[in-house]
Amino acid sequence: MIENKVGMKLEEIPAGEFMMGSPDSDPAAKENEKPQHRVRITTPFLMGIHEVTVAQFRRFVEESGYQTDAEEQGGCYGIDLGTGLIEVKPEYTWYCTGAPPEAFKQLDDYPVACVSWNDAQAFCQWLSGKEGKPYRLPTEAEWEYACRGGTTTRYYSGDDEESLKDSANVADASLKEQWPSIGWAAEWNDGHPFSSPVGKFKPNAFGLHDMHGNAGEWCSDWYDPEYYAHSPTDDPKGPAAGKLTDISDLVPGAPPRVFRVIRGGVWCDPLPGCRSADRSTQLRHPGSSAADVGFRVVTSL
Amino acid sequence: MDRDLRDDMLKLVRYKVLFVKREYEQAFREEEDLVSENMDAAAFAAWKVAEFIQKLKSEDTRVSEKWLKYHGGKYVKEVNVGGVKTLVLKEFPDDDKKYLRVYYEVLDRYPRERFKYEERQIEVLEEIREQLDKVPKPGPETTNSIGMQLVQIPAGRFKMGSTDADPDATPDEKPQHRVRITKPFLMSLHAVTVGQFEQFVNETNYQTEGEQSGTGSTGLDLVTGKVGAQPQYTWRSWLNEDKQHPSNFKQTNKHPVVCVSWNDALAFCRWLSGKEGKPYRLPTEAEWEYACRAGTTTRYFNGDDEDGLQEIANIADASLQKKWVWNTNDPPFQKGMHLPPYAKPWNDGYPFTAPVGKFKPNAFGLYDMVGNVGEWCSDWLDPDYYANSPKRDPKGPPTGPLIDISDRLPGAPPRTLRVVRGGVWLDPAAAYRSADRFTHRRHPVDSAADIGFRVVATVED
Repeated sequence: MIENKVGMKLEEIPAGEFMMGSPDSDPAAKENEKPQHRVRITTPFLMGIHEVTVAQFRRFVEESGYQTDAEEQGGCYGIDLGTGLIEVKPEYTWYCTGAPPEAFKQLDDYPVACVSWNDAQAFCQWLSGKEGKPYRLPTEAEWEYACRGGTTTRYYSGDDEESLKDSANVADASLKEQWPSIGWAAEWNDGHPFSSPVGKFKPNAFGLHDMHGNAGEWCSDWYDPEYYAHSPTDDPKGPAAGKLTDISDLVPGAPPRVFRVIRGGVWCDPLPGCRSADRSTQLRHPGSSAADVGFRVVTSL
Repeated sequence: MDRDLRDDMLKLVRYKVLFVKREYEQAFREEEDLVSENMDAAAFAAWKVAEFIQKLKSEDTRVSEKWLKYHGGKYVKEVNVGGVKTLVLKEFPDDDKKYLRVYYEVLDRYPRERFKYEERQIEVLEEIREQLDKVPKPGPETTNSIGMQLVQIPAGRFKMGSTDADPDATPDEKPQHRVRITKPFLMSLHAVTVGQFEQFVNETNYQTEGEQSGTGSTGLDLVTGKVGAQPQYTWRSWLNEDKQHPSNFKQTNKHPVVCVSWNDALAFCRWLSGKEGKPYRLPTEAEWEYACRAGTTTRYFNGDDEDGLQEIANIADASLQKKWVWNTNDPPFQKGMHLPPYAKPWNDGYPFTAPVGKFKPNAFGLYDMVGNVGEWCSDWLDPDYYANSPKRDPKGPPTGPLIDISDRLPGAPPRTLRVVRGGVWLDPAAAYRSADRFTHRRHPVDSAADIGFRVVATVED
């Protein structure tokens, strides 16, 4: 493990092969996870063992004068515990992601959220300057490869949802208590209703924490639900351009949009959204941001 | 030079001339021949002003050579008197050496008089000093970790925009209004170079928007003479050579980077912020004009005269016209016509972009503020902004209004645009005026062979 100049810990992920996506036999799998196919990661890389933290992002903001898309464009998606509604509000930003502020004040060791894909890119540009070498978001294939850590089960902790209890901050009784109108929640109580400080749960075989749950994680790829049918075997990087995707089933009446991939499930999603292969728990435009989506970075060895 | 200051200085000099002449005529009545024929009091006054400026220079470290060239220094020149370099006032075209020789002779003969006159002159000189003090002076120059030179631009006030007195002024430059820059800042002496941008690309694997989109940037095709976007035009290369008539143009690491969009410029700034550990950004439009003027109120930062551009800017001149020929039968030009039609007759040796720093800097020591490449500013462009912009540190409107660009791109819909300042290597003279803001307005994703940027940074406390 190495630690870079901003105190970010990174673990070496070796080159290797894995089966990406889900088999037809998995009843929880969605169509966009098929066909399951062999992928080769040809070059080892370093991956942050944690999601980028609020403290790291603050340093970026302080040293660059950066304003996030949410700050410039009127806020991000967040929860108001008073009304139980998820909506975009100007006061929801990376330093306070929901209402009331006491509940969503983002402390230094929390994963930064309410950051768009564009914001994550800007952070990487800044960090590349600091480190003198390219930092970037992982590709979707790198992400799934790193998440699985050699496993072929639904979660890196096993096939059972129960197995997430120790390895992921998911929607559970602690969240249901704060947000009764939520329609799903695990029965256990992990003491973290919303996001938790990074590294509070057990890591996977590569030493990566919070790959399941906590904040969702931006990947570099454009989202294409049919990508797996024709993606290359070696180091797939996603389609060259975003595909207009119909989201009217999620947001009634919304026009089709282009999306970037978000992986790993979040603290308020149904548990199947945390599966290693899940691709569409959240679909977001690169300028969109939400209280449950952050990112982690990768760099070359 | 500030027109008011210039008038004041000349007034003072005239006053001093009268004063000196009267006093000397009295003092040297017996030496009437000497006084009337050789001891030109005006030259004496000129010399005294020059001496004062020299003194100011030695006492005040903020007064750089570059600053002197434009303020105070603009009115004096350096001459060699008996092996000693001395500043003399330019306003008096006669043989300064002769006057200085005579002046020394007079002082040798009447040493007691010298004291008296110099004491009386202190008042006058203090007035000049007061005037000069009002002109903003640059702070120290520094070099950052990527070898980029920056100069501290002082806080200060200036008049932004143009008055009706400038026949080239367009409505968006009016009304001329007072603006205060409340904090000093660092500005790069040069536009960001190809070498610096390459380091950024190497350390981030960044792809410019022109490269990502596959449409490329707007460049120049010397075979046809046409300007347009081609996928192969990027910051690395943006000229299609005519092999029959090679231009011998090479874009080196010292050339200003072009074919970068506003968004690309911001990505560079974020990378540099990480490297330096402090915010680097594009200048606001107000900071840019303040820095360009550097205390001047003339149309160009070195005067009102177009011909003066020859010294300070890489502009459209005979060197460009020689290389750029319209080689198709398509309108708007006739086949075989040399472009651009408005090119200046002189030849500066740089048909296209020039390596940075090849022309004279302004009073703050900034090179190529006008000409060479246009420079992205952080502001959205609003042609009506000056009517209601804040007086302190204006940052442009919060969002850009839709602006009609059909004059440049026939049939194109209105777009939101970012400000580009400073004129480029292929513009007519009016574009190099310090106040020009409309020649190169562009959408933030656009990139072209004539537009780059320079950066500013905060001054550490």
